[in-house]
Amino acid sequence: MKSNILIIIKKELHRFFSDKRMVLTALVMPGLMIYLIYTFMGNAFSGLVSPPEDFSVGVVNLPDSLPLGETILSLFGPEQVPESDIENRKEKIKNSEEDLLIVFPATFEEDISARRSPNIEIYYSSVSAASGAVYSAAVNMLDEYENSLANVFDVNKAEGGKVYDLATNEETTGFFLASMMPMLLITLLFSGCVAVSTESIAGEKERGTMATLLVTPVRRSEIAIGKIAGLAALALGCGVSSFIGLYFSLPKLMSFGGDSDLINMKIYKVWDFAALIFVLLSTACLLVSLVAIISAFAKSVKEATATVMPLMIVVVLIGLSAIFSASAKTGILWYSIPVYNSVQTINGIFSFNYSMPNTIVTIVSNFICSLIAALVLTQMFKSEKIMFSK
Amino acid sequence: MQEILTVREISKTFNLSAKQRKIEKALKKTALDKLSFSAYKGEIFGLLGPNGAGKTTALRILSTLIQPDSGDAEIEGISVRKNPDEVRKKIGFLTSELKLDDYFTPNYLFNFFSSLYKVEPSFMQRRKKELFEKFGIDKFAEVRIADLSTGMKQKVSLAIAIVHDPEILIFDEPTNGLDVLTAKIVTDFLAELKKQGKTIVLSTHIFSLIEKVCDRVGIIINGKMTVCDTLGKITENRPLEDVFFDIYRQEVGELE
Repeated sequence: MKSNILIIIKKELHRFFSDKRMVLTALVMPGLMIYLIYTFMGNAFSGLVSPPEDFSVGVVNLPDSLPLGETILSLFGPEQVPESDIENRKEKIKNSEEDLLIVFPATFEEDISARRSPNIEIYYSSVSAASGAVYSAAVNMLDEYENSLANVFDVNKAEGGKVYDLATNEETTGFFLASMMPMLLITLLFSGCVAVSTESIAGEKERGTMATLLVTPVRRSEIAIGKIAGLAALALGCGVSSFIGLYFSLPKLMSFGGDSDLINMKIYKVWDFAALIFVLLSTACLLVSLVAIISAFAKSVKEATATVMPLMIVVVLIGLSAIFSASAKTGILWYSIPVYNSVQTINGIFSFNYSMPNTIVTIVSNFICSLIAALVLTQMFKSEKIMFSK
Repeated sequence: MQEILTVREISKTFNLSAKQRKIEKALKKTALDKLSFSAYKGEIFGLLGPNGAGKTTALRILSTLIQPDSGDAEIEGISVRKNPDEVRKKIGFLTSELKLDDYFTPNYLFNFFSSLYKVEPSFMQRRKKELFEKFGIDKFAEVRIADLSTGMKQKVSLAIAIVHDPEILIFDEPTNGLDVLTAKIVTDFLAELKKQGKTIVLSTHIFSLIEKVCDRVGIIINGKMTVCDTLGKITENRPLEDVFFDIYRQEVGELE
């Protein structure tokens, strides 16, 4: 004979996978949406920061006796424009027929020698992506030239392939991910918990199917534990789906759509991901239990989803704490605080700075809290005021 | 006759919701007031009363969904207050309040509830075949509950309520909302269960159902048992409907 807990777990899984809409919105969409949004954002940023390949630049009074003139020629291949044609060119930029016009004063070279701070005028159109990108490139180039004129000393001048940031690429990646991942993962995991738990607890109450379960000889504690375990597995699936989306799209986002090694997830080992899965599972158990308790008070899924919002704010704030902390806490007591311990452990995993005892304390602490929550949920299932109030 | 179900002076009061308070002009409502009755092995006992009389509350207490404020009920000597888990093993409970999940099929639900009642797999297969054939469920065994009619759902609910072949069956308004054909199937099935020696307690406000299947009747008005006896002794060859309204007038007054 199968244990009732196992039967309830199987039923929860069967219920979830029987509902195609639920599978799509809670399991497939989070990962897919994250991948598409981040990849799109990476590509969009790439378009904003890289100058277009095809552009047309005009220049008036090109200072060709200065090194600046050569730089402008090599970077933009500009057409030399007479002063009398300035208004015509401006009109063309307005109509997106041209992208940029750089106007140097006729006395630019003399003014530079006499240190009179001449004004260079650059005409562009901010509503044209190409014009805006070429404008940014031109301003950067001119700023650099101006800095070189006043050069007294350099800081970390890039020459001979010398590297000044002594952190390795892995450490840099780890530092970035350790600040971002806890908040992203905990928030996405919580969203999964809300989606599955409100439907299973408040939804069953609302539809009258909970009462059908409560008249069977199954103990209330078995229903509570079975539901929490089944829902935690589903919520973990939602979390893993989001993580897969992040895994493949974050490098694209951070390298602006390219294939840069700026964020390379391959630096993590199998056991890092194993530790992450266990921490996420224990966190899913805890979050599902908390959402289940709130859902048990609610009369409908709608009411449960609204009631759970304050908890969501607290969880997101705890997740945000990782962004502002320099590194994961080391004191073991920090790892006994539910949710915060998960944030710290995830931070530690991604920054290669986690210890086995702290990770175990996190997992055990989360499971103990889930068990306490399951006992509370059991009492709620026994309460006719909570389960059958109209 | 062997007394198999005993209800001893159970009382139940509910706090009223804000809306109900405006209508009732009170904070609480007494649903049951020291209600007592018994059911004997192999009989069908009917609880008759108007809406809000306390019939459903009484049956929900017997099914252990809710607890009485005072008094107790025993099923085969097991207290619903002290040992609700054991009571639930002994009974089959059917009420319109208990719904089936729309995403499951009758076949899945039958298997699921069989597992919860710890029914042996071989018995479960025989039982499923028997009940599915009897109610015609085998024709829609793999159709999701959401796609079934009210009558089909009631048939599935009935099959699931007796999946473990309980000796005591508690049916709350078993023919309520059903079309005449499905209601006839349910009524005939109640008579068949009685023949098998099962004890049935049912609630209804349909006089013809009581007259057709019940051995003994209890008439509940405002949470109190006004009359409880065999159908013959209560009616003395008069129509049950007339007897009921005479009692109602005595207890409450003229109909408004």
